[in-house]
Amino acid sequence: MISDTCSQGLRISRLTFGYGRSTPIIEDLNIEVAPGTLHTVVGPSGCGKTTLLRLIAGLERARQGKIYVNGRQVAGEQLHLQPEKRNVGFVFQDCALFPHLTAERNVSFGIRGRRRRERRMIASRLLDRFGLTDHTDAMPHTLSGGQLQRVAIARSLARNPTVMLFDEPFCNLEVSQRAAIRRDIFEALKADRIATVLVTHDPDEVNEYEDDRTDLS
Amino acid sequence: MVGRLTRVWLLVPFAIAMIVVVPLGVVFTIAVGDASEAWDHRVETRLLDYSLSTLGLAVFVGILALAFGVPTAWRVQTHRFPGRSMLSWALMLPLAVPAYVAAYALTDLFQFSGPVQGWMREHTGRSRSDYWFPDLRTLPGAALILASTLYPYVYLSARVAFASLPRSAMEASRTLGSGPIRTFFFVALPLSRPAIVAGLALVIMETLADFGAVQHCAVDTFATGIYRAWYGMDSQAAAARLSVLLVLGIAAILVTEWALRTRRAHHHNTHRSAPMTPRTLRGIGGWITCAACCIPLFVGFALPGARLLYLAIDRGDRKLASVFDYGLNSLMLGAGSGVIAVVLATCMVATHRASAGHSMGVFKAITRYGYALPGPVLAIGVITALGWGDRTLNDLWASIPGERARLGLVLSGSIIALLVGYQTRFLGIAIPLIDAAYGRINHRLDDAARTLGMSPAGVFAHIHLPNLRAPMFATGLFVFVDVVKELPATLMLRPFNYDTLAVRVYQLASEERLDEAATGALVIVAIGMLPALVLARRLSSKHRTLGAGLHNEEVSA
Amino acid sequence: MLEKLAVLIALCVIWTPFGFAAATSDPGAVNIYSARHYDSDDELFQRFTEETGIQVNVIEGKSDELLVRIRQEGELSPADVFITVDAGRLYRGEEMGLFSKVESKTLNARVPETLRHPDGRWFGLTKRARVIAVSRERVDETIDALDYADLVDSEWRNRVLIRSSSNIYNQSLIASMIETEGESATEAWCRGSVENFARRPQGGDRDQIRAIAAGEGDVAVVNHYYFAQMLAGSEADREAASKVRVIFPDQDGRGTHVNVSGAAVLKNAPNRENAIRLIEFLVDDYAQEMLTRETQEYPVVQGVRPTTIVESLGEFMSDSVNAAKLGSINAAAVLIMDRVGWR
Repeated sequence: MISDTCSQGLRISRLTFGYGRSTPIIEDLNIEVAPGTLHTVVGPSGCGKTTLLRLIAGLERARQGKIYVNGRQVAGEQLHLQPEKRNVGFVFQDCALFPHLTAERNVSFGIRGRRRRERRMIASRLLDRFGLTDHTDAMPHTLSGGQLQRVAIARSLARNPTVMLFDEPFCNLEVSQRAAIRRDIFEALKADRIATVLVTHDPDEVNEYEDDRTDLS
Repeated sequence: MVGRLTRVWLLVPFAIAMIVVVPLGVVFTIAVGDASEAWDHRVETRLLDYSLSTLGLAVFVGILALAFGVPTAWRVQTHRFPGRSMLSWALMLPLAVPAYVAAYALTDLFQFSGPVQGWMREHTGRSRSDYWFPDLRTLPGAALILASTLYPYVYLSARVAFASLPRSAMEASRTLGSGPIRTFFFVALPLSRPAIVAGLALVIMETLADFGAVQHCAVDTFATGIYRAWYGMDSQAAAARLSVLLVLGIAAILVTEWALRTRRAHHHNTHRSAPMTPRTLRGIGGWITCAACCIPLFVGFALPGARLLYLAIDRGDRKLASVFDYGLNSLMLGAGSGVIAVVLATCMVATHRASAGHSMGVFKAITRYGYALPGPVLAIGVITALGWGDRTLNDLWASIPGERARLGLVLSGSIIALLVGYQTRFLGIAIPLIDAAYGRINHRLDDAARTLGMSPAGVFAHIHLPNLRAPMFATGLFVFVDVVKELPATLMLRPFNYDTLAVRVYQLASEERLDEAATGALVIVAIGMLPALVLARRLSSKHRTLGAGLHNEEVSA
Repeated sequence: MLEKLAVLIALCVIWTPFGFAAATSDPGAVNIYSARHYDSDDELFQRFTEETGIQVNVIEGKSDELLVRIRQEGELSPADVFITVDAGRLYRGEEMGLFSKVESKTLNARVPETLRHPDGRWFGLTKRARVIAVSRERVDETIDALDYADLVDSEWRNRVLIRSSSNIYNQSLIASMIETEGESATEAWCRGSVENFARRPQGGDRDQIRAIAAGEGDVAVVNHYYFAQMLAGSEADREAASKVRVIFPDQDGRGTHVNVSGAAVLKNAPNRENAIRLIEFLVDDYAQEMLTRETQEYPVVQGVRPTTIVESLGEFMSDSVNAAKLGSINAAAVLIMDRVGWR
């Protein structure tokens, strides 16, 4: 049954995954994330939360099940669309910025098909949006944890994805910073009607923007 | 431990550094000595030739070494395909083959009267004017030969660099729309550049120092020019001047490499990185990759090895006993040099550590650069310096009252010349290795032991030595093998009745008696395989420990 | 275990310098610096030791290396005897002032005048002829006489093989031509030859013979003994040599160019008496046979027969250029070869 709202956003149907032939880590999982909503996935370490994100992004190949992004099937029997074709934004746990590029070049990395000047403009605008105007040409190793994360998010947003994935975004941040980040980022995502999946190991973590939750434990 | 070591100990690093400084200084002295004397005309007319050839050779070899080493390292490191695990270490094997041996074997194989062209003519019915076949005895040919035996330096450093790439950044690149190829060029390569450049610098240094291979291919570089000036023209000044130019060129390369490296120093991120998920190449793609990766291995190791094996079995050295003799000389020389190098390097590094003085660091740094000195250059320095020493000794000897036979050339005419010459060059390998091993021993252990009453000697014996056994052995092994393979310095420094395998092979091959040289050449290659295999094992064990947390990512659908 | 091994090795290392220390003026020894690399020479020296009790120490190397080394060692040089191939190299040593005059009745009697230095600074030990090798298959059997001069004829276009001009044997050949024909004629000959080259000069004399066998050229200029050695060599060599035959050039004219390998006593020799004795031994009948047995050269002493293979090449007339001249004209020869572009 395909509802209207979920012809957009993210839909996962009967997803199963395991390493080799061992017992599957993820079995028969179903998740629907509508555009502009935030879905949290919790569970202890090793339960497969990160793996789930990797499956959605295309960095792992599912054993069984289907994944739809923005109405298009990206994974299923015999089908495995490469990550670079899925347009799914992924913010890694360690931010994964390119150490050899400035913040601006990091952000403009994924923008294609335009002149350098245009790309720089788009990137700068995004960085402004996250309050990083002064750090546009800074190298990643000079940035703080919170700044790194914003750059990483800006970088993923530069491609206008319809789905955004966050892998434990708060574990490297001070408690005081977390509220600010949540406000800046998730409001923006909702405004852009992006379907967001957030993974955390702390079930007690309160996220006021959360719309739904899956517990993998 | 400032002040704990008496001043006397400062002499040790100083003396050791002199092993490198004196020969180089002597060469410079000879070069500028006769400032009034104009450049020898015969050398002057060839200077442009030497420069162009040397430069051209360096460029060609550099490009080919990159082509051989980087793609193969990338494929092997990040993909799975048939033959990968064997290729992973086998691609290091060409290090076992000295360039001059590869040159003899490959030119013999591919020359007009060789088996390959002979077979071609027989089976296609053509005769010589009907077809064109590339001639290996040219500059491009020499470049190919050198690149195929030296690329493992690039391969090794590329592998290490690729293995420590931040996995998440690579994956982030994929999620940002860059496929594997774009990710390679825009993320993997820039991050790996410092390491690859270091490997490339080593390749080029070895190329500039090469003598046997370029001479055989009739290419006139600085190295052969120095040799010819020294012997053919008997002009010490000309040889020394060419040497100075060559050393300056090498210094320029080292400076460039250092500059490129430090600019990127801050790029090394602190995050621990797990190795990337290997991509599996199935079917035809996998086999093509396997075949392509086999090419450098083939050219640099399998082909020369096979040809030598054939020649050795077919004819072989008529007197196998003499191969044994020369082999024994090589082994003793190598073993002795290895031991001396380890001892000296350990002294140097240990005293540096115990004194924690900055001035000593200079000595260590200087000695490392002995490796950059090409064989002919250091031979000139060593033999001249030792010759002066001998004259002084003989004068002293003669001034002692009484009748006696003359002392003779106890330094420059004996094995001491060889041993000194080898140290001049190979301390440059030994010191970084021992230094790295020392670096892994935490300073705090030293401090703790000292506060508990242990003397510096005790610290050395009980804290350092036990941790240094394996690195010392590895260092000794590398020096040993390099000594066995060494040619130009050995040619110029060796004493009475003392030929090594390398010299013997060179002499026979230059008289076109390659079939007789084959056995000796094979022994050299066999010995050379030892460090190649050690390095290869280190590569795969590093890979294994990093991957401890990850399983093989091959997923069956 | 490792430490014991290391100590053992270290001991060996420390011991060797004293074991191998320069063989100096040991009264019962003679020190030879030799540019010949033949095992039969070693056997010969052993025989010398057996007969005289004098210990023979040999250091082998390339001629240039040895000469420079001797010069550098100067007064302290332990070298007594210098042996090399090619009179041009002997000349170089003489020019460097390294050789001493030797007056020996034996040597003067047994070594022909054209094959020794007029002042007795060096003496020829063996003789070699630079001959013309032709392909059996592609050169008509009836051609049994050729001169060097013939090689510039147009019929030999693209068929001539010869090694590089940097090789001393060629330099001496050209030097001998300059001596007999004059510079301009020689230069014309060189120019004409270069135009007939089948390929860029490469490899040594054996390579030229192999190239004839492989079909890369039809005629080559080589030293006779390389051909003879191949006839007595490996299967591959024998096969190649079987496709080639040898002609002694200029038999109707000045004679074939011959050269020598020779020995000299060095100025600073610590064992001068032993040195002279050794060289006199080397022109002994037995020694002459031994010297040439493996190398397939001609003995210098008349009456001593060469090997069977060499004898089968036939009798020939050699030119009468004094070998001592070859060195002094060397520079002019090199200049000419450079000018005509003979690589």
